[in-house]
Amino acid sequence: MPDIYIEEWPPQSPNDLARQETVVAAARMMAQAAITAPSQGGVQMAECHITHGAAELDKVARKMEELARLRPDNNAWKRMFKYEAAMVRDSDAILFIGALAAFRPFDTGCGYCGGSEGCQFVYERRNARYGVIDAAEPLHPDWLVDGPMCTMNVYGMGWAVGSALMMANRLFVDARPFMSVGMAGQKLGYCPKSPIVVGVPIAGKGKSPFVDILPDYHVNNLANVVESLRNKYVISRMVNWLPYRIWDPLNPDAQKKEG
Amino acid sequence: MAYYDGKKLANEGLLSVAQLCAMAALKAPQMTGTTEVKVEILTGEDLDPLIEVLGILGQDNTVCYGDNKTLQSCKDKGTVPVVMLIGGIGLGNSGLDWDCGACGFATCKEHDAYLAVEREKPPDFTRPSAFGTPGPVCVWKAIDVGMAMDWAAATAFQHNIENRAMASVGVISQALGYLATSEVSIGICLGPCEPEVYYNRPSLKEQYDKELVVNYMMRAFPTHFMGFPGTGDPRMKYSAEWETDARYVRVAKREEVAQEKKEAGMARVMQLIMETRAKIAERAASEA
Repeated sequence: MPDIYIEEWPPQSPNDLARQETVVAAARMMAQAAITAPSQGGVQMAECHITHGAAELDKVARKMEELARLRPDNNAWKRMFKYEAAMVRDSDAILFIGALAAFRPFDTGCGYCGGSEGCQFVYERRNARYGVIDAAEPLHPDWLVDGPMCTMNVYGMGWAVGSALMMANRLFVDARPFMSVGMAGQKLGYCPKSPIVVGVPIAGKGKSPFVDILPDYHVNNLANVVESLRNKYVISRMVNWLPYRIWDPLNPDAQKKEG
Repeated sequence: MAYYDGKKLANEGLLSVAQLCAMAALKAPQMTGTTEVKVEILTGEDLDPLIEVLGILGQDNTVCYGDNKTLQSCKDKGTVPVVMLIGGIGLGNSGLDWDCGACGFATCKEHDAYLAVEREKPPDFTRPSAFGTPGPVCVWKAIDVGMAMDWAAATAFQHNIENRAMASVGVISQALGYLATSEVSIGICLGPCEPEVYYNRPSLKEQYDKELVVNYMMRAFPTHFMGFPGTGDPRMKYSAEWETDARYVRVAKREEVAQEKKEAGMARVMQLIMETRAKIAERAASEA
């Protein structure tokens, strides 16, 4: 197949998959930018994990919707998660960036995590022995994020996210960092070494899926609206039982005869 | 050593990015190689008439309404963007003699004959999308202007400057007298230096009431909010009462802004056009 035809519609068609492939290449470049981002002491602060394809993205979106339901009384929270789940389904790939060193404190007593207690704020609260945290022993397995952790090193991961987004900018793909996507990804096992993860959905479409969002976006997104049109179009067609061979009311010739 | 406030310095630097964008627009590749691209840059109070006209047209035009609110909010915060106007000159008569047919005429000569008739007509300010813009233009030359605009926008993007190419800003500026003799125009707002200005517009927070937003969606994609269509006259699920208090979709005449208000608005627009054109002429004379 020597020619590569690229067009985003219909979704998941060969011409759309060809486009998605390019976005995955961009995701890899973004991951590389995240890895080479500046970091404290030259120690790697971030790990990257890429997932792509409609089925995989749908899994992440479903997890986000599950997290939305964890706070049934908090509408702002629920709606944000559901809106962003719709954005994930409209993306081409997700780059997860995890704070690899969140349970390995920077040991300078900066106080970002707990103030005057220095690094002991984290060590004392987590299962630490001789200044080493046992990451296999979760403190709050049912929390959204199992803190506390080394805020200095998580902040260092922020640099990696910045580099990834700068790369997206340079490659002309749309990308936006989300807490909701990151939390869902972390729960699903992406970035396995990191207790806190940022999710960066990436898209290479005519319209960025991440901006200019309608209210009730989980209901009124393009996929849903197209789906309602499909359904209602078919029903409307079925109740117009016109015998087009013998009577086509819009055929200009038919009108001439009548006139 | 001098001290600088980062935000202030950043916003002051928008003009230097505008300069880079202008360089890019003028360097952009062309299909024809003969299109004259014109670039003008507006700053500070020169934006005032533009913002006011957007507000007047915004009374019954959602795009202009939103652009007015956004630029007005920038002004209120003391960080107006730098507006880069890009237009193309002499696009009507291509001078190419390609006889390609893209414009709808078999030959450039036929196009030019039609052009001569069209250009005799007075500018039409009634359609916001063609606010006094003269047509028709050579399709290939229009592509050239598109490429120039894109190079400018891409340059802003690569310098991490919040920007948006706005047709509203382009055509209104043109009506105000900028980009004289240009036939295709656009305005690219550069800055202010903030994460989101023109997308997910924070300036539009609480600027629309809920009813209007819901109504807008129902007008834009009615099928999505439709009940069972097999009845031939499907109900609109406009609220929880849609079954008991039925409402239907109809093709209706538009509810216009009150005529009096509209006329007053257009009179003010004309006044602003006259004033700005006089100012531009004065500026040109002093530079000559």
